Amino acid sequence: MPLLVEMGAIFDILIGVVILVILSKRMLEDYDSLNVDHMKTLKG
Amino acid sequence: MFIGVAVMAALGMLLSAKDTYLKLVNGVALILLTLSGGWTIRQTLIEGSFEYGSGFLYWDALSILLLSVIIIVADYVILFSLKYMEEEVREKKLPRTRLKGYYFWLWFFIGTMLLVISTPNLGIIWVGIEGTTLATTLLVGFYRNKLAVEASWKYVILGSVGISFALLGTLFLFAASGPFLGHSLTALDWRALPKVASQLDLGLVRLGVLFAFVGYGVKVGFVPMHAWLPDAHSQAPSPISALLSGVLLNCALYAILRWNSLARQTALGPDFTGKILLSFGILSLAVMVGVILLQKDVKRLLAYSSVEHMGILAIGFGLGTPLAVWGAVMHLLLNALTKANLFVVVGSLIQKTGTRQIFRIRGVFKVWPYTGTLLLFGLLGITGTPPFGTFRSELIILSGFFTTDHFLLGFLTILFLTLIFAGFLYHFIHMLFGKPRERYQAGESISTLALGIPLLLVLFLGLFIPQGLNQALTQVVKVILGGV
Repeated sequence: MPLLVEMGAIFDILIGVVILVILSKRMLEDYDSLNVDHMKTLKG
Repeated sequence: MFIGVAVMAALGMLLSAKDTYLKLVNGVALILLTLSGGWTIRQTLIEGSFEYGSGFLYWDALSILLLSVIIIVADYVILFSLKYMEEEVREKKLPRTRLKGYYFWLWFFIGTMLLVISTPNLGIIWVGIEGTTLATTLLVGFYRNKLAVEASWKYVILGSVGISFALLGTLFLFAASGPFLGHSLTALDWRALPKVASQLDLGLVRLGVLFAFVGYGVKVGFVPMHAWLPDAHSQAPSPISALLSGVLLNCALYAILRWNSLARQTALGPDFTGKILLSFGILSLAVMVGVILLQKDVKRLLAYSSVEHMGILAIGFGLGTPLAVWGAVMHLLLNALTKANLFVVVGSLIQKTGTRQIFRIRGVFKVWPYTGTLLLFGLLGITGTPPFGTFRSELIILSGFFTTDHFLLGFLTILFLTLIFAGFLYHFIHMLFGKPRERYQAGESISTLALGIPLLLVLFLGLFIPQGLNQALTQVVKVILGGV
């Protein structure tokens, strides 16, 4: 892939990891676990 | 230029969360965005295409259609945001300092969408679409309760999986075109690709197109990849739902359209992608009938209606006759305006009633006559009732079925649309005309009616289409059908 696209992808992954960390912290606060089986409320 | 405006605005929002500061910076940023965007649109309309930085940024008729949609909806939604978020802070739903993050991610989101439509490179389009996912994740989870965390988790995981499919598709295309165009940015440039399209390796291109359609299809919300969409739309703050539904889905569809017009010129032929889009569209409509009829949550109802309209668009682009594509292009514009308007009106209604449950919202007309009027017009606009513009565009798309001899599919689509209309009417009539609950705080100022400006535009375009707009849309059709 061209260098510019690769750099963009790396940048996206970087921010993505930060966001996943933030979300995992919030999951820990709300559910005291990272098990996604708790999250089954939104349906239909 | 306007990408720079959005980035600067995003950073500027981090400095302070004071009411007057936010109003000032947002106002200046919106004016700059509208002026620079409007200038680009004007140049492109005069010259047919417009480039910046020796072709690194490039706009043609299709890009500026999306650009105008983004600018109109962003202006409208951010102005509404200023009022809406102020109200949320006043009701103690959020501390004031969190507004910084809200506007930062909001402008970052707008910036990534502007990048998607400004670049002529399929690789950078991918970077931009992934950027939109990241920018909106924390906005979807903005209220930080359990449901918001669930919705944003689902959104980021499904969005990222989808987008990695699209990356794989882009890789396949790069592998196919590298030998002809050199292993550089040019190999993914949709201006250069059509010239070598007929020589590309058929197997690689077919795989690439399939992966890209499924991957970006997740972001567009085609059934069966739509699972994130109602959750994200219903948990996000209402202005964000309006942006997601009004422009984000269209930006992802834009990526698909670029792939589509490329694939039409390869050895695959125009039928291959047309059939994929057509089946996505019909499937989306069919599944949406059931969920819309049985819906209990008003924001989820609107989210599912977004899936439905993306299905209609896919049908229009999939049929591929110039007239049907013209209708779909028109519908893209009108649906963005109507849906943004409806989400904003419903958002302010939810703020007043404090609930999203349809059966608990009753008698809106009696208590808040202006909001009720807007809601009624929104209902008529979104279901494609004459004289709104959506009726005209849907009718033109449907006519495409009968000129290409798809009589059964055409009949089914009309049946689905009618059932969805019935579902909407059922839910909205109860909300508008039922017996109001006692505890509502009645009274509102006539300035509420200003929220209806986009709908007014939709109504106007239903009665009359200016010559200039028609020419611009015809150019867009040419771009999509691959006569670059």
